Amino acid sequence: MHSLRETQRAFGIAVLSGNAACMAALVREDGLSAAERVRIYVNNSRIGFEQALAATYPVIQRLGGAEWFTQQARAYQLRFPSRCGDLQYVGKRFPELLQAELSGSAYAYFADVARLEWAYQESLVAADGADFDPSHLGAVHETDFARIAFIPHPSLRLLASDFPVLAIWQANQATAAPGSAAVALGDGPDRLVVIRRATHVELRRLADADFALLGLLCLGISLGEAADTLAATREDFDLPASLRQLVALSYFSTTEVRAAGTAAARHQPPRSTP
Amino acid sequence: MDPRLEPVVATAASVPARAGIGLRSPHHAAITSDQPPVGWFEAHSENYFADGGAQLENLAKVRERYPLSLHGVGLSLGSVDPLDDGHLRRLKRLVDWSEPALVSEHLSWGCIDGTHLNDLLPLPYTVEALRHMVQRVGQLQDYLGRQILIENISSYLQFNCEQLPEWDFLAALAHESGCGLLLDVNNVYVSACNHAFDARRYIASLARAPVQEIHLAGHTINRRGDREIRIDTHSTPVCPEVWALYEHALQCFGPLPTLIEWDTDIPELSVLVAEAHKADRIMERSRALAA
Repeated sequence: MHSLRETQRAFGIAVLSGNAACMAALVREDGLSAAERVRIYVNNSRIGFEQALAATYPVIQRLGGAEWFTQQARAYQLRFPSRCGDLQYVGKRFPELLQAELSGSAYAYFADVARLEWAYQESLVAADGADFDPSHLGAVHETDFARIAFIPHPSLRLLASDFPVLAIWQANQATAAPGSAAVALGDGPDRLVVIRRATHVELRRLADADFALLGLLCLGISLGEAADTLAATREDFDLPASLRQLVALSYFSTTEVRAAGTAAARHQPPRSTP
Repeated sequence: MDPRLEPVVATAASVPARAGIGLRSPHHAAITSDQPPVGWFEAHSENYFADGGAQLENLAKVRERYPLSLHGVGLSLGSVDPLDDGHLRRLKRLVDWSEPALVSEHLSWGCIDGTHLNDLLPLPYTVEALRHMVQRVGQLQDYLGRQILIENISSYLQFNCEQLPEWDFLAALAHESGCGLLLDVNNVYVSACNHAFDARRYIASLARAPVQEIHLAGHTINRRGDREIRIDTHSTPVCPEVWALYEHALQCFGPLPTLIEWDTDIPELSVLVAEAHKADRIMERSRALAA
Protein backbone atom coordinates (compact mmCIF):
# COMPACT_ATOMS: atom_id res chain seq x y z
CA MET A 1 0.00 0.00 0.00
CA HIS A 2 1.29 3.47 -0.83
CA SER A 3 1.99 5.77 2.10
CA LEU A 4 0.08 9.03 2.48
CA ARG A 5 3.20 10.92 1.42
CA GLU A 6 3.66 8.77 -1.70
CA THR A 7 0.00 9.22 -2.60
CA GLN A 8 0.10 13.00 -2.18
CA ARG A 9 3.38 13.27 -4.08
CA ALA A 10 2.01 11.29 -7.04
CA PHE A 11 -1.23 13.30 -7.01
CA GLY A 12 0.70 16.57 -6.84
CA ILE A 13 2.91 15.65 -9.80
CA ALA A 14 -0.14 14.59 -11.81
CA VAL A 15 -2.08 17.81 -11.06
CA LEU A 16 0.82 20.12 -11.84
CA SER A 17 2.05 18.31 -14.96
CA GLY A 18 -1.32 17.18 -16.30
CA ASN A 19 0.11 13.69 -16.72
CA ALA A 20 -1.85 11.15 -14.67
CA ALA A 21 0.37 8.13 -15.42
CA CYS A 22 1.78 8.08 -11.87
CA MET A 23 -1.77 7.87 -10.48
CA ALA A 24 -2.90 4.88 -12.56
CA ALA A 25 -2.08 2.31 -9.88
CA LEU A 26 -3.58 4.39 -7.08
CA VAL A 27 -7.04 5.27 -8.36
CA ARG A 28 -10.21 3.18 -8.53
CA GLU A 29 -11.28 3.48 -12.14
CA ASP A 30 -14.89 2.42 -11.70
CA GLY A 31 -16.18 3.32 -15.16
CA LEU A 32 -13.93 6.33 -15.62
CA SER A 33 -10.16 6.10 -16.18
CA ALA A 34 -7.68 7.45 -13.64
CA ALA A 35 -6.57 9.95 -16.28
CA GLU A 36 -10.13 11.27 -16.74
CA ARG A 37 -10.64 11.54 -12.99
CA VAL A 38 -7.31 13.31 -12.43
CA ARG A 39 -8.05 15.68 -15.32
CA ILE A 40 -10.90 17.21 -13.29
CA TYR A 41 -8.40 18.19 -10.61
CA VAL A 42 -5.93 19.41 -13.24
CA ASN A 43 -8.62 21.68 -14.68
CA ASN A 44 -9.75 22.91 -11.25
CA SER A 45 -6.19 23.74 -10.25
CA ARG A 46 -5.43 25.56 -13.52
CA ILE A 47 -8.68 27.50 -13.56
CA GLY A 48 -8.37 28.52 -9.90
CA PHE A 49 -4.76 29.58 -10.43
CA GLU A 50 -5.55 31.59 -13.56
CA GLN A 51 -8.54 33.29 -11.95
CA ALA A 52 -6.43 34.31 -8.97
CA LEU A 53 -3.72 35.64 -11.29
CA ALA A 54 -6.30 37.52 -13.38
CA ALA A 55 -7.74 39.11 -10.23
CA THR A 56 -4.32 40.64 -9.51
CA TYR A 57 -3.41 41.43 -13.14
CA PRO A 58 -6.58 42.64 -14.92
CA VAL A 59 -4.62 45.19 -17.00
CA ILE A 60 -2.12 42.58 -18.21
CA GLN A 61 -5.02 40.29 -19.11
CA ARG A 62 -6.70 43.09 -21.03
CA LEU A 63 -3.48 44.08 -22.82
CA GLY A 64 -2.55 40.54 -23.85
CA GLY A 65 -6.02 39.12 -24.40
CA ALA A 66 -7.71 36.16 -22.71
CA GLU A 67 -6.07 33.41 -24.76
CA TRP A 68 -2.54 34.79 -24.31
CA PHE A 69 -3.17 35.30 -20.59
CA THR A 70 -4.26 31.66 -20.19
CA GLN A 71 -1.00 30.54 -21.82
CA GLN A 72 1.04 32.82 -19.58
CA ALA A 73 -0.80 31.64 -16.47
CA ARG A 74 0.01 28.04 -17.39
CA ALA A 75 3.69 28.85 -18.05
CA TYR A 76 3.83 30.78 -14.78
CA GLN A 77 2.25 27.95 -12.76
CA LEU A 78 4.86 25.53 -14.13
CA ARG A 79 7.84 27.85 -13.69
CA PHE A 80 6.80 29.45 -10.40
CA PRO A 81 4.41 26.98 -8.74
CA SER A 82 2.45 28.51 -5.88
CA ARG A 83 4.31 28.38 -2.56
CA CYS A 84 1.40 29.76 -0.57
CA GLY A 85 -2.08 28.56 0.33
CA ASP A 86 -3.43 32.07 0.04
CA LEU A 87 -4.35 32.66 -3.62
CA GLN A 88 -3.95 36.41 -3.23
CA TYR A 89 -0.17 35.93 -3.31
CA VAL A 90 0.16 33.61 -6.29
CA GLY A 91 1.07 36.50 -8.62
CA LYS A 92 4.14 37.70 -6.74
CA ARG A 93 6.69 36.61 -9.37
CA PHE A 94 4.55 37.06 -12.50
CA PRO A 95 6.46 40.23 -13.53
CA GLU A 96 9.67 38.12 -13.59
CA LEU A 97 8.09 35.72 -16.07
CA LEU A 98 6.93 38.57 -18.30
CA GLN A 99 10.36 40.19 -18.09
CA ALA A 100 12.04 36.95 -19.17
CA GLU A 101 9.52 36.26 -21.94
CA LEU A 102 9.07 39.73 -23.39
CA SER A 103 12.33 41.58 -22.78
CA GLY A 104 13.53 43.15 -26.02
CA SER A 105 10.16 42.69 -27.73
CA ALA A 106 7.53 45.31 -28.57
CA TYR A 107 5.73 44.17 -25.41
CA ALA A 108 8.65 44.71 -23.02
CA TYR A 109 6.51 47.23 -21.12
CA PHE A 110 4.17 44.43 -19.93
CA ALA A 111 6.64 43.51 -17.14
CA ASP A 112 6.55 47.03 -15.67
CA VAL A 113 2.75 47.25 -15.98
CA ALA A 114 2.65 43.95 -14.06
CA ARG A 115 5.00 45.42 -11.43
CA LEU A 116 2.58 48.30 -11.02
CA GLU A 117 -0.36 45.90 -10.61
CA TRP A 118 1.58 43.90 -8.00
CA ALA A 119 2.52 47.10 -6.14
CA TYR A 120 -1.18 48.02 -6.18
CA GLN A 121 -2.09 44.61 -4.75
CA GLU A 122 0.53 44.90 -1.98
CA SER A 123 -0.56 48.41 -1.12
CA LEU A 124 -4.19 47.33 -0.96
CA VAL A 125 -3.54 44.83 1.84
CA ALA A 126 -0.67 46.58 3.69
CA ALA A 127 -0.98 47.65 7.31
CA ASP A 128 -2.78 50.87 8.19
CA GLY A 129 -0.19 53.55 8.97
CA ALA A 130 -0.33 56.39 11.44
CA ASP A 131 -1.21 59.83 10.07
CA PHE A 132 1.96 61.90 9.82
CA ASP A 133 1.93 65.14 11.73
CA PRO A 134 4.35 67.58 10.00
CA SER A 135 4.30 69.84 13.05
CA HIS A 136 6.61 67.28 14.71
CA LEU A 137 9.33 68.54 12.39
CA GLY A 138 9.13 71.95 14.06
CA ALA A 139 10.09 70.36 17.38
CA VAL A 140 13.32 68.89 15.96
CA HIS A 141 16.39 70.86 17.01
CA GLU A 142 18.20 72.45 14.10
CA THR A 143 21.38 70.47 14.83
CA ASP A 144 19.40 67.19 14.67
CA PHE A 145 17.73 67.88 11.35
CA ALA A 146 20.28 66.03 9.25
CA ARG A 147 19.80 62.94 11.42
CA ILE A 148 16.04 62.66 10.85
CA ALA A 149 14.91 59.41 9.22
CA PHE A 150 11.51 59.46 7.54
CA ILE A 151 9.56 56.22 7.99
CA PRO A 152 7.40 55.54 4.92
CA HIS A 153 3.72 54.66 5.17
CA PRO A 154 3.41 50.82 5.26
CA SER A 155 1.39 50.82 2.03
CA LEU A 156 3.88 52.93 0.06
CA ARG A 157 5.50 51.27 -2.97
CA LEU A 158 7.80 52.81 -5.59
CA LEU A 159 8.11 51.95 -9.25
CA ALA A 160 10.55 53.37 -11.78
CA SER A 161 9.93 52.45 -15.40
CA ASP A 162 11.22 53.53 -18.81
CA PHE A 163 7.63 53.27 -20.05
CA PRO A 164 4.52 55.41 -19.38
CA VAL A 165 3.02 52.66 -17.22
CA LEU A 166 0.62 54.94 -15.33
CA ALA A 167 -1.04 56.11 -18.56
CA ILE A 168 -1.20 52.49 -19.78
CA TRP A 169 -2.72 51.37 -16.48
CA GLN A 170 -5.30 54.19 -16.51
CA ALA A 171 -6.28 53.58 -20.14
CA ASN A 172 -6.91 49.91 -19.42
CA GLN A 173 -9.14 50.20 -16.40
CA ALA A 174 -12.61 48.73 -16.83
CA THR A 175 -13.96 52.24 -16.23
CA ALA A 176 -11.72 53.92 -18.86
CA ALA A 177 -13.49 55.84 -21.60
CA PRO A 178 -13.54 54.12 -25.01
CA GLY A 179 -10.76 55.41 -27.25
CA SER A 180 -8.55 56.41 -24.33
CA ALA A 181 -6.30 53.40 -24.95
CA ALA A 182 -3.91 55.25 -27.26
CA VAL A 183 -0.73 55.77 -25.23
CA ALA A 184 2.60 56.57 -26.91
CA LEU A 185 5.27 54.26 -25.45
CA GLY A 186 7.78 57.09 -25.83
CA ASP A 187 5.88 59.13 -23.22
CA GLY A 188 7.90 57.54 -20.38
CA PRO A 189 9.80 57.26 -18.19
CA ASP A 190 7.56 57.10 -15.13
CA ARG A 191 8.56 57.55 -11.52
CA LEU A 192 5.52 56.33 -9.60
CA VAL A 193 4.35 56.18 -6.02
CA VAL A 194 1.62 53.75 -4.99
CA ILE A 195 0.02 54.39 -1.60
CA ARG A 196 -3.26 53.53 0.08
CA ARG A 197 -5.33 56.38 1.49
CA ALA A 198 -7.73 54.73 4.00
CA THR A 199 -9.24 52.13 1.66
CA HIS A 200 -8.41 53.65 -1.74
CA VAL A 201 -5.09 53.07 -3.54
CA GLU A 202 -3.61 56.24 -5.09
CA LEU A 203 -1.09 56.26 -7.95
CA ARG A 204 0.97 59.37 -8.61
CA ARG A 205 3.81 60.34 -10.95
CA LEU A 206 6.65 62.19 -9.20
CA ALA A 207 9.37 64.47 -10.51
CA ASP A 208 12.73 62.68 -10.81
CA ALA A 209 14.40 64.55 -7.96
CA ASP A 210 11.45 64.04 -5.57
CA PHE A 211 11.36 60.34 -6.46
CA ALA A 212 15.11 60.01 -5.90
CA LEU A 213 14.85 61.59 -2.44
CA LEU A 214 11.87 59.42 -1.50
CA GLY A 215 13.71 56.30 -2.68
CA LEU A 216 16.71 57.06 -0.46
CA LEU A 217 14.56 57.95 2.56
CA CYS A 218 12.63 54.70 2.09
CA LEU A 219 15.91 52.82 2.40
CA GLY A 220 16.19 54.16 5.94
CA ILE A 221 18.91 56.69 5.14
CA SER A 222 18.86 59.89 7.20
CA LEU A 223 17.85 63.16 5.59
CA GLY A 224 21.42 64.53 5.76
CA GLU A 225 22.90 61.49 4.04
CA ALA A 226 20.19 61.46 1.40
CA ALA A 227 20.72 65.17 0.74
CA ASP A 228 24.50 64.75 0.47
CA THR A 229 24.08 61.84 -1.94
CA LEU A 230 21.67 63.68 -4.18
CA ALA A 231 23.53 67.01 -4.10
CA ALA A 232 26.62 65.17 -5.33
CA THR A 233 24.82 63.42 -8.19
CA ARG A 234 22.00 65.73 -9.32
CA GLU A 235 22.33 69.36 -10.35
CA ASP A 236 18.55 69.90 -10.21
CA PHE A 237 18.22 68.78 -6.59
CA ASP A 238 16.47 71.27 -4.28
CA LEU A 239 16.18 69.65 -0.85
CA PRO A 240 13.64 72.03 0.76
CA ALA A 241 11.37 71.90 -2.31
CA SER A 242 11.50 68.11 -2.63
CA LEU A 243 11.01 67.50 1.08
CA ARG A 244 8.06 69.93 1.22
CA GLN A 245 6.47 68.06 -1.68
CA LEU A 246 6.92 64.60 -0.10
CA VAL A 247 5.63 65.75 3.30
CA ALA A 248 2.66 67.50 1.67
CA LEU A 249 1.80 64.24 -0.10
CA SER A 250 1.78 62.38 3.26
CA TYR A 251 4.10 59.61 2.17
CA PHE A 252 5.49 59.13 5.68
CA SER A 253 4.06 57.69 8.87
CA THR A 254 6.54 59.13 11.30
CA THR A 255 10.11 60.33 11.79
CA GLU A 256 12.97 59.23 14.00
CA VAL A 257 16.10 61.12 14.96
CA ARG A 258 19.00 58.75 14.45
CA ALA A 259 21.99 58.64 16.77
CA ALA A 260 25.08 60.12 15.10
CA GLY A 261 26.78 57.60 12.82
CA THR A 262 23.72 55.31 12.60
CA ALA A 263 22.99 54.76 8.97
CA ALA A 264 21.60 51.24 8.97
CA ALA A 265 18.10 50.81 7.60
CA ARG A 266 15.77 49.98 10.44
CA HIS A 267 12.75 49.43 8.28
CA GLN A 268 12.11 47.17 5.35
CA PRO A 269 12.40 49.36 2.27
CA PRO A 270 9.46 49.36 -0.12
CA ARG A 271 9.95 47.48 -3.34
CA SER A 272 11.45 49.61 -6.08
CA THR A 273 12.40 48.89 -9.63
CA PRO A 274 15.68 50.61 -10.45
CA MET B 1 -4.51 44.73 10.48
CA ASP B 2 -3.34 47.02 13.21
CA PRO B 3 -2.64 44.80 16.23
CA ARG B 4 -3.59 47.68 18.50
CA LEU B 5 -7.18 47.49 17.30
CA GLU B 6 -9.67 46.25 19.78
CA PRO B 7 -11.72 43.21 18.76
CA VAL B 8 -14.61 44.34 16.58
CA VAL B 9 -17.14 43.21 19.17
CA ALA B 10 -16.85 42.58 22.86
CA THR B 11 -17.99 38.94 22.80
CA ALA B 12 -18.51 36.30 20.15
CA ALA B 13 -22.15 35.79 19.30
CA SER B 14 -23.27 32.30 18.35
CA VAL B 15 -24.49 31.52 14.85
CA PRO B 16 -28.25 30.89 14.97
CA ALA B 17 -30.00 27.85 13.49
CA ARG B 18 -30.96 29.93 10.48
CA ALA B 19 -29.69 30.32 6.95
CA GLY B 20 -26.72 32.57 6.26
CA ILE B 21 -24.84 33.44 3.10
CA GLY B 22 -21.21 33.47 2.05
CA LEU B 23 -19.59 36.90 2.26
CA ARG B 24 -18.15 37.76 -1.16
CA SER B 25 -16.48 41.03 -2.25
CA PRO B 26 -19.03 41.99 -4.95
CA HIS B 27 -21.71 42.16 -2.23
CA HIS B 28 -19.84 44.15 0.42
CA ALA B 29 -21.44 47.49 -0.42
CA ALA B 30 -24.97 46.06 -0.77
CA ILE B 31 -24.68 44.18 2.54
CA THR B 32 -23.56 47.30 4.38
CA SER B 33 -26.25 49.52 2.87
CA ASP B 34 -29.20 47.07 2.70
CA GLN B 35 -28.49 44.90 5.74
CA PRO B 36 -30.26 41.91 4.17
CA PRO B 37 -32.47 39.79 6.45
CA VAL B 38 -30.24 36.73 6.79
CA GLY B 39 -29.12 35.04 9.99
CA TRP B 40 -25.34 35.27 9.61
CA PHE B 41 -22.40 35.47 7.22
CA GLU B 42 -19.49 33.19 6.49
CA ALA B 43 -16.20 34.59 5.17
CA HIS B 44 -13.32 32.73 3.55
CA SER B 45 -10.55 33.25 6.10
CA GLU B 46 -7.80 33.85 3.54
CA ASN B 47 -9.71 36.73 1.93
CA TYR B 48 -9.20 38.66 5.17
CA PHE B 49 -5.54 37.90 5.87
CA ALA B 50 -4.61 41.48 4.93
CA ASP B 51 -2.62 43.62 7.37
CA GLY B 52 -5.04 46.53 6.84
CA GLY B 53 -7.27 48.21 4.29
CA ALA B 54 -10.75 47.90 2.85
CA GLN B 55 -11.28 44.15 3.17
CA LEU B 56 -10.87 44.24 6.95
CA GLU B 57 -13.01 47.34 7.22
CA ASN B 58 -15.75 45.55 5.25
CA LEU B 59 -15.51 42.50 7.48
CA ALA B 60 -15.70 44.65 10.60
CA LYS B 61 -18.89 46.31 9.30
CA VAL B 62 -20.51 42.93 8.65
CA ARG B 63 -19.33 41.61 12.01
CA GLU B 64 -20.93 44.55 13.82
CA ARG B 65 -24.35 43.53 12.53
CA TYR B 66 -24.25 39.76 12.02
CA PRO B 67 -22.82 36.61 13.62
CA LEU B 68 -19.76 35.48 11.67
CA SER B 69 -18.21 32.18 10.70
CA LEU B 70 -14.69 31.85 9.24
CA HIS B 71 -14.13 29.15 6.65
CA GLY B 72 -10.57 28.31 5.55
CA VAL B 73 -9.77 27.12 2.05
CA GLY B 74 -5.95 27.27 1.87
CA LEU B 75 -4.44 25.76 5.03
CA SER B 76 -4.00 22.29 3.49
CA LEU B 77 -4.73 20.65 6.82
CA GLY B 78 -4.42 17.08 5.50
CA SER B 79 -1.08 17.56 3.75
CA VAL B 80 1.94 15.61 4.99
CA ASP B 81 3.90 18.87 4.64
CA PRO B 82 4.18 20.78 7.92
CA LEU B 83 1.47 23.39 8.39
CA ASP B 84 2.57 26.83 7.17
CA ASP B 85 3.49 28.89 10.26
CA GLY B 86 2.72 32.16 8.50
CA HIS B 87 -0.72 30.92 7.46
CA LEU B 88 -1.43 29.74 11.01
CA ARG B 89 -0.34 33.10 12.45
CA ARG B 90 -2.55 35.06 10.05
CA LEU B 91 -5.50 32.78 10.77
CA LYS B 92 -5.09 33.16 14.52
CA ARG B 93 -4.73 36.93 14.19
CA LEU B 94 -7.98 37.05 12.19
CA VAL B 95 -9.80 34.73 14.61
CA ASP B 96 -8.64 36.75 17.64
CA TRP B 97 -9.65 40.02 15.98
CA SER B 98 -13.02 39.08 14.50
CA GLU B 99 -14.14 36.60 17.18
CA PRO B 100 -16.15 34.34 14.86
CA ALA B 101 -18.72 32.01 16.33
CA LEU B 102 -17.52 29.15 14.11
CA VAL B 103 -14.16 28.36 12.48
CA SER B 104 -13.98 25.62 9.86
CA GLU B 105 -11.49 23.89 7.56
CA HIS B 106 -11.74 21.08 5.01
CA LEU B 107 -11.14 17.35 5.04
CA SER B 108 -8.58 17.76 2.31
CA TRP B 109 -5.02 18.64 1.38
CA GLY B 110 -3.53 20.87 -1.31
CA CYS B 111 0.22 21.20 -0.78
CA ILE B 112 3.09 18.76 -1.23
CA ASP B 113 6.84 19.37 -0.98
CA GLY B 114 6.15 23.09 -0.62
CA THR B 115 4.10 23.41 -3.82
CA HIS B 116 0.48 24.48 -3.41
CA LEU B 117 -1.98 23.11 -5.93
CA ASN B 118 -4.65 25.59 -4.79
CA ASP B 119 -7.43 23.04 -4.77
CA LEU B 120 -9.21 20.88 -2.20
CA LEU B 121 -7.77 17.43 -2.93
CA PRO B 122 -9.21 14.26 -1.39
CA LEU B 123 -7.40 12.15 1.17
CA PRO B 124 -7.23 8.36 0.89
CA TYR B 125 -9.48 7.17 3.72
CA THR B 126 -6.89 4.97 5.40
CA VAL B 127 -5.97 4.44 9.03
CA GLU B 128 -2.70 6.30 8.37
CA ALA B 129 -4.59 9.32 6.96
CA LEU B 130 -7.01 9.25 9.91
CA ARG B 131 -4.13 9.30 12.42
CA HIS B 132 -2.60 12.17 10.46
CA MET B 133 -5.83 14.21 10.35
CA VAL B 134 -6.50 13.62 14.07
CA GLN B 135 -3.01 14.97 14.83
CA ARG B 136 -3.43 17.94 12.48
CA VAL B 137 -6.88 18.91 13.78
CA GLY B 138 -5.49 18.67 17.32
CA GLN B 139 -2.56 20.89 16.36
CA LEU B 140 -4.88 23.53 14.88
CA GLN B 141 -7.35 23.43 17.77
CA ASP B 142 -4.49 23.80 20.26
CA TYR B 143 -3.01 26.68 18.27
CA LEU B 144 -6.29 28.56 17.96
CA GLY B 145 -7.41 27.61 21.46
CA ARG B 146 -10.86 26.57 20.24
CA GLN B 147 -12.81 23.84 18.53
CA ILE B 148 -12.88 23.82 14.74
CA LEU B 149 -15.35 22.21 12.33
CA ILE B 150 -14.19 19.96 9.50
CA GLU B 151 -16.11 19.93 6.21
CA ASN B 152 -16.49 16.99 3.83
CA ILE B 153 -15.47 17.84 0.24
CA SER B 154 -16.80 16.80 -3.16
CA SER B 155 -14.56 14.24 -4.80
CA TYR B 156 -14.03 12.88 -8.28
CA LEU B 157 -11.84 9.91 -7.47
CA GLN B 158 -11.32 7.28 -4.79
CA PHE B 159 -8.10 5.43 -3.96
CA ASN B 160 -7.57 1.67 -4.17
CA CYS B 161 -5.99 1.66 -0.72
CA GLU B 162 -9.00 3.08 1.16
CA GLN B 163 -9.94 1.21 4.33
CA LEU B 164 -12.91 3.28 5.53
CA PRO B 165 -15.92 4.91 3.89
CA GLU B 166 -15.79 8.71 4.11
CA TRP B 167 -18.62 8.89 6.67
CA ASP B 168 -16.80 6.53 9.07
CA PHE B 169 -13.58 8.50 8.55
CA LEU B 170 -15.35 11.76 9.45
CA ALA B 171 -17.11 10.23 12.45
CA ALA B 172 -13.83 8.80 13.76
CA LEU B 173 -12.05 12.11 13.16
CA ALA B 174 -14.68 13.99 15.16
CA HIS B 175 -14.63 11.39 17.95
CA GLU B 176 -10.85 11.22 18.27
CA SER B 177 -9.93 14.89 17.75
CA GLY B 178 -12.94 16.52 19.40
CA CYS B 179 -13.62 18.64 16.31
CA GLY B 180 -17.13 19.43 15.12
CA LEU B 181 -18.39 18.66 11.63
CA LEU B 182 -19.57 20.96 8.90
CA LEU B 183 -21.79 18.79 6.72
CA ASP B 184 -21.81 20.00 3.14
CA VAL B 185 -24.99 18.37 1.84
CA ASN B 186 -24.19 19.29 -1.75
CA ASN B 187 -20.77 17.67 -1.41
CA VAL B 188 -22.34 14.51 0.01
CA TYR B 189 -24.73 14.41 -2.96
CA VAL B 190 -22.01 15.12 -5.56
CA SER B 191 -19.68 12.45 -4.15
CA ALA B 192 -22.55 9.98 -3.73
CA CYS B 193 -23.44 10.36 -7.42
CA ASN B 194 -19.79 10.20 -8.51
CA HIS B 195 -18.95 7.12 -6.41
CA ALA B 196 -22.35 5.39 -6.33
CA PHE B 197 -22.93 5.36 -2.60
CA ASP B 198 -26.12 6.13 -0.69
CA ALA B 199 -26.15 9.79 0.37
CA ARG B 200 -28.86 9.18 2.99
CA ARG B 201 -26.85 6.38 4.54
CA TYR B 202 -23.83 8.72 4.71
CA ILE B 203 -25.87 11.31 6.62
CA ALA B 204 -27.64 8.79 8.84
CA SER B 205 -24.26 7.30 9.82
CA LEU B 206 -23.07 10.49 11.47
CA ALA B 207 -23.76 11.10 15.16
CA ARG B 208 -25.92 14.14 15.85
CA ALA B 209 -23.67 15.89 18.36
CA PRO B 210 -20.61 16.81 16.26
CA VAL B 211 -22.61 18.21 13.32
CA GLN B 212 -22.85 21.97 13.93
CA GLU B 213 -23.27 23.53 10.50
CA ILE B 214 -24.57 22.69 7.03
CA HIS B 215 -23.45 23.98 3.63
CA LEU B 216 -25.64 24.12 0.54
CA ALA B 217 -24.46 25.02 -2.97
CA GLY B 218 -25.04 24.34 -6.64
CA HIS B 219 -23.06 22.01 -8.87
CA THR B 220 -22.84 21.13 -12.56
CA ILE B 221 -22.99 17.85 -14.47
CA ASN B 222 -20.27 16.91 -16.97
CA ARG B 223 -20.62 13.96 -19.34
CA ARG B 224 -17.62 11.73 -20.10
CA GLY B 225 -18.79 9.17 -22.66
CA ASP B 226 -21.75 7.35 -21.12
CA ARG B 227 -20.76 8.41 -17.60
CA GLU B 228 -21.77 11.63 -15.96
CA ILE B 229 -19.71 13.22 -13.27
CA ARG B 230 -20.89 16.01 -11.00
CA ILE B 231 -18.56 18.95 -10.34
CA ASP B 232 -18.84 21.12 -7.25
CA THR B 233 -18.75 24.51 -8.98
CA HIS B 234 -20.77 26.71 -6.58
CA SER B 235 -22.07 28.38 -9.73
CA THR B 236 -25.79 27.50 -9.78
CA PRO B 237 -28.82 27.39 -7.48
CA VAL B 238 -29.14 24.44 -5.09
CA CYS B 239 -30.72 21.55 -7.04
CA PRO B 240 -33.99 19.82 -5.96
CA GLU B 241 -32.20 16.59 -4.98
CA VAL B 242 -29.89 18.51 -2.62
CA TRP B 243 -32.85 20.40 -1.09
CA ALA B 244 -34.48 16.99 -0.42
CA LEU B 245 -31.27 15.66 1.12
CA TYR B 246 -31.06 18.82 3.24
CA GLU B 247 -34.52 18.08 4.63
CA HIS B 248 -33.32 14.58 5.48
CA ALA B 249 -30.25 16.01 7.22
CA LEU B 250 -32.44 18.32 9.31
CA GLN B 251 -34.51 15.31 10.36
CA CYS B 252 -31.30 13.59 11.48
CA PHE B 253 -29.56 16.53 13.15
CA GLY B 254 -32.30 19.06 13.96
CA PRO B 255 -32.19 22.72 12.83
CA LEU B 256 -28.63 23.91 12.17
CA PRO B 257 -26.89 27.04 10.88
CA THR B 258 -27.10 26.57 7.10
CA LEU B 259 -24.94 28.39 4.58
CA ILE B 260 -25.76 29.21 0.96
CA GLU B 261 -22.45 29.22 -0.96
CA TRP B 262 -22.01 30.76 -4.41
CA ASP B 263 -18.48 31.46 -5.68
CA THR B 264 -18.54 31.44 -9.49
CA ASP B 265 -20.78 33.62 -11.68
CA ILE B 266 -21.88 35.28 -8.44
CA PRO B 267 -25.43 36.64 -8.83
CA GLU B 268 -27.10 39.66 -7.23
CA LEU B 269 -27.29 39.56 -3.46
CA SER B 270 -31.08 39.20 -3.67
CA VAL B 271 -30.68 35.79 -5.36
CA LEU B 272 -28.61 34.50 -2.46
CA VAL B 273 -31.03 35.99 0.07
CA ALA B 274 -33.90 34.17 -1.70
CA GLU B 275 -31.97 30.87 -1.51
CA ALA B 276 -31.32 31.51 2.19
CA HIS B 277 -35.02 32.15 2.80
CA LYS B 278 -35.85 28.90 1.05
CA ALA B 279 -33.51 27.09 3.46
CA ASP B 280 -35.17 28.93 6.38
CA ARG B 281 -38.62 27.76 5.23
CA ILE B 282 -37.42 24.15 5.05
CA MET B 283 -35.89 24.49 8.51
CA GLU B 284 -39.20 25.88 9.84
CA ARG B 285 -41.04 22.93 8.31
CA SER B 286 -38.63 20.48 9.96
CA ARG B 287 -39.15 22.24 13.30
CA ALA B 288 -42.93 21.94 12.91
CA LEU B 289 -42.66 18.25 12.03
CA ALA B 290 -40.43 17.58 15.02
CA ALA B 291 -42.73 19.44 17.42
